[in-house]
Amino acid sequence: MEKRVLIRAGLRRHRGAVLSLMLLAALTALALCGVLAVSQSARMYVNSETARLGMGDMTLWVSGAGDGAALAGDAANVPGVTGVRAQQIIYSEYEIGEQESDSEGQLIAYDPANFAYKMLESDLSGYADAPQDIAPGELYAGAAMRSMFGLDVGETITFPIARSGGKVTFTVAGHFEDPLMGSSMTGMKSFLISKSDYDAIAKMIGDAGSNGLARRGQMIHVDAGGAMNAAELSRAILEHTSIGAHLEFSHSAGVLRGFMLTLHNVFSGLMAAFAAVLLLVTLVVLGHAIGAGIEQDAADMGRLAAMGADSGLLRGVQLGMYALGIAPGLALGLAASGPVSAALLAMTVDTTGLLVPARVPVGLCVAVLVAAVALLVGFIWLRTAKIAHLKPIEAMRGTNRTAAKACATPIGSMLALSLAVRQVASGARRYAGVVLTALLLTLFASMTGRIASWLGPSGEGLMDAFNPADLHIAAQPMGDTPIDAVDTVIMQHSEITDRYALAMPSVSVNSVNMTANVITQPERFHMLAGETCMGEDEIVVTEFVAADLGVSIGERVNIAGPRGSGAYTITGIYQCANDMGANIGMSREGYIRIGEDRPQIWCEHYFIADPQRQGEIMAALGETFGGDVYLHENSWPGLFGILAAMDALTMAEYLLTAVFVLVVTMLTGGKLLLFERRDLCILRAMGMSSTRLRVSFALRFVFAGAAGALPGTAAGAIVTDPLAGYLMRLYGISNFASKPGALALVMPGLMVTAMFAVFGYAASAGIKRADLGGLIAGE
Amino acid sequence: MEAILSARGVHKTFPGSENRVLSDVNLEIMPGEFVAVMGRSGAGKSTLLYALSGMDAVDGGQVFYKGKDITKLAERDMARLRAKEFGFVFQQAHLVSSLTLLENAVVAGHLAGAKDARAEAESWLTRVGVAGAIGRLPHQVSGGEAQRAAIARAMMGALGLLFADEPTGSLNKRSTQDVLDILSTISAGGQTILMVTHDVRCAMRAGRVLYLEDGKIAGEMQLEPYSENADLRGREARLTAWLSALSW
Ligand SMILES: Nc1ncnc2c1ncn2[C@@H]1O[C@H](COP(=O)(O)OP(=O)(O)O)[C@@H](O)[C@H]1O
Ligand SMILES: [Mg+2]
Repeated sequence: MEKRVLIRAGLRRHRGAVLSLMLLAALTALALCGVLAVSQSARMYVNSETARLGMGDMTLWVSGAGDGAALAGDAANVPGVTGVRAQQIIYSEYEIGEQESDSEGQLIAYDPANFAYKMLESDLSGYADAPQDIAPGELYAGAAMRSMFGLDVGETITFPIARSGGKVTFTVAGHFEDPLMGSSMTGMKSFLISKSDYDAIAKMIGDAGSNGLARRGQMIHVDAGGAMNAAELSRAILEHTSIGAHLEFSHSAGVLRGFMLTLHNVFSGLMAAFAAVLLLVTLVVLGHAIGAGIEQDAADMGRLAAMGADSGLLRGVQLGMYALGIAPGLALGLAASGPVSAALLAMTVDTTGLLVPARVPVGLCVAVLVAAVALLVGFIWLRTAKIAHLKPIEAMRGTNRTAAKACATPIGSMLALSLAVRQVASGARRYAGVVLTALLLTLFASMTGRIASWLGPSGEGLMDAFNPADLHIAAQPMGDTPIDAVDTVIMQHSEITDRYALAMPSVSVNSVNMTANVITQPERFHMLAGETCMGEDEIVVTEFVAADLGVSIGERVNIAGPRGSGAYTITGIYQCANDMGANIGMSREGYIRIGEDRPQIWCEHYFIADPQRQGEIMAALGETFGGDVYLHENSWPGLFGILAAMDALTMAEYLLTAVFVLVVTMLTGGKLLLFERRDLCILRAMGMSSTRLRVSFALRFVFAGAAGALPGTAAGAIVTDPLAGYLMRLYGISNFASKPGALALVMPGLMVTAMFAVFGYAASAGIKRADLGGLIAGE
Repeated sequence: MEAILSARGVHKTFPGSENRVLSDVNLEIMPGEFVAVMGRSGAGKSTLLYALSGMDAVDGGQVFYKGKDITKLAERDMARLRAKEFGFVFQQAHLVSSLTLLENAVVAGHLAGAKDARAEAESWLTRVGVAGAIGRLPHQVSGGEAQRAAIARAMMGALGLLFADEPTGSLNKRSTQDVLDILSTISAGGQTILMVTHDVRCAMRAGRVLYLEDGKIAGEMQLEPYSENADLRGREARLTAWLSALSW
């Protein structure tokens, strides 16, 4: 009862601090629950959609087996396999306007009775009714095609089915959701067409014979009830069926889902790091608010102790008071995380290809928030410990207030400056909150900055995750064009500083088909662990392959190519997310043992002296060689969606940093003004102008902010890479390393300090109003 | 009859000074008594009061309240004693600045375990004459009103012993009279009071006066119970004469 009266009085007195903490708690909870909601919703949705469509544990892409019924039947008889479903597809390159695809697309015969894909509304905001049939000449494309190729409803897309005029053009009737390969992160792209168009194209292919460009095939979805891992299932199928002879490639459900979720995971990784920092800053602010509050309330606490209140009650009142701010804040954040994550998920439909319904995992969020509350409560209890040692009479006299330490900084003619220095130096403890907050926020901002610089202005960082080695421009002659001709064009614009060749033939590793990145300079591979493959019997594999095949560094695998097979030792793990990570790396010497070395397989990779002119060079090459030389650079169309989303996220983060700095400055400033009311009044009575006092006041925050920003910058330099790298790895990006420039290095600290200066000046507005009557302020 | 409060050999030295503020204090307070402790400014009167009431620690000696040595009590038990048995009035009102006058008394009542804290608080605040200001915060009332509210707050619950330290020290003449009259009334109602003061007009309200000097009780004077119609001038004169003899 008395507790309630005291808590109410405390809330009255510390309204600002409690409301600020409510805001911080809400933002922290929003970030925490937002991460959970986005990552969980996306994961659950992809799982449930692949299950609903019956995609099984593994999907095998085959070709050249007629309608594939025999293969599907064989697969169903493999021991351990519980279900097999097949989809009729046609592999074909495609052209949208001037753009050509860089890999084959898949035309899927629409079969709503067995594969009930969801159709999206034209603005991608909801679902439209799925049609009974797709009209001839129309197709449905994934939503990601919109951001990648600008493929809107009504646009056309052309598939070169056979040489000499065998092109088929479709009009986009709408977009559909493909939970298997709908993301812009996936290289393969799917399109739904009518059964009659499918049959017509299949006939065209048959008629074209050796002039055919497209191929007929099937997707075979194999379900083993989750009883076998990918390698076991793959081995069983290849052992018991003749699928191997027709196999284009195969991917386990886990790998496919991983790629569908890459974008969500990038977001979640960043947000998780963000949320952790916010929680820390909230703790610091809370600690500071409690410390300052106790200092302010010491006399009252002494009086209450004289009345017989024990320290348990007094601490309980503090706890209750702050809990009343924090608990609704957390609830608010939790409530807001629903709409906010829904908005985030909706914003990214045209890159993720999925309209993920935001479902806040309330149980999990509550569990996380309860843990956060436990942390905060424990912290409050610790932070209020000194109340237990409070001697009533001392507290009432005010002798408990730590007297400003005698600190002989000189008071010079620059009064505002020297007063600020004196105040910060002698009351250092009171600025601890500012220093710590500046430290953490600088750390956080520099982390964001470094992630942005990892990503690069055009997403090179992410691209590096997909390319086995760095490059500026890559060119592969399709016909008889000699590579020297390409060199000549490039050198008209910029010097070539270095070059290497890369081929990407198919091989089978322990009977599993995958791509081999064959390189003339193996030292260029992006290594994650171990050594690169310099010897002719050495290879490197991706983390996915290592996990999928259950192999590790030092082990030997058997690799078969067009000319034979051989045993190779795995010398390292490298990063290449191409083909969803189902690839290995080897040297040219290594590949020649099992494959043939024809000039046509090599793609020349160039480094140019003036990367600024890359766009210009690409345009010139395109113009000179047209379709005769296949060109690509370190970018791909889905990237810009990610970059835009990252930019928005970075902006939001800086905004939140500003909010936190504002709250901390207002809190600290308010308390300081309260404690120093007498001194400030005296200084004004002595003739110091209020503007000068305010400048002096703001300067204190500059000093305290800089005192935190400096170690924050240093800490950022040290911990960002391992911390962000660790979190990124949790979410599937395994080669995070930032390489910031000098400006990116100092910018966050400068920004944070500047924010403190501005808000410090704003917080001191009270000085202007302070009346000199405050001088004789008694009780 | 047994003493409600007694001190044996109490001594105390403040850290950082070599002089003992209290060197060997022995005294006894009987139930229902109104005892005043006098002494020059700086003699250690306040220190003694806080030592006797457990508000501050002592270096040695014992303080018995109702037969129990309170110097050995744990923080929680000491808090309970202050809540239920002791009441304090200081030179400054020391009202909790964030609580209204009423809330100050209500909280004290709850701490003391009062059955109907609010009604009792209103009743006491009315008896000390601040009924019109009970909803105000301490900084919104005069010094005299605040001090009267502080007495009301101290009286909440079934009080064992009321401690007062210069209760009129910061009041004007008019308010001083009001506060002393309230104390006299309370005392006449049977309340045990221990008051320290250097003011003869305060001390003459007491039934017994102790004199503190050099950290010890150096003298003691018994007076007849105070009443409004007693010979006040004669009482004051006798007290002054006694004090003069004690080098006052
Ligand atoms: N917290 C303290 N620290 C050090 N010395 C103190 C403290 N409080 C009081 N004193 C000293 O103890 C002596 C007695 O003080 P006090 O009990 O307040 O005297 P009185 O109340 O009789 O005027 C004085 O000399 C005073 O300076
Ligand atoms: Mg005193």
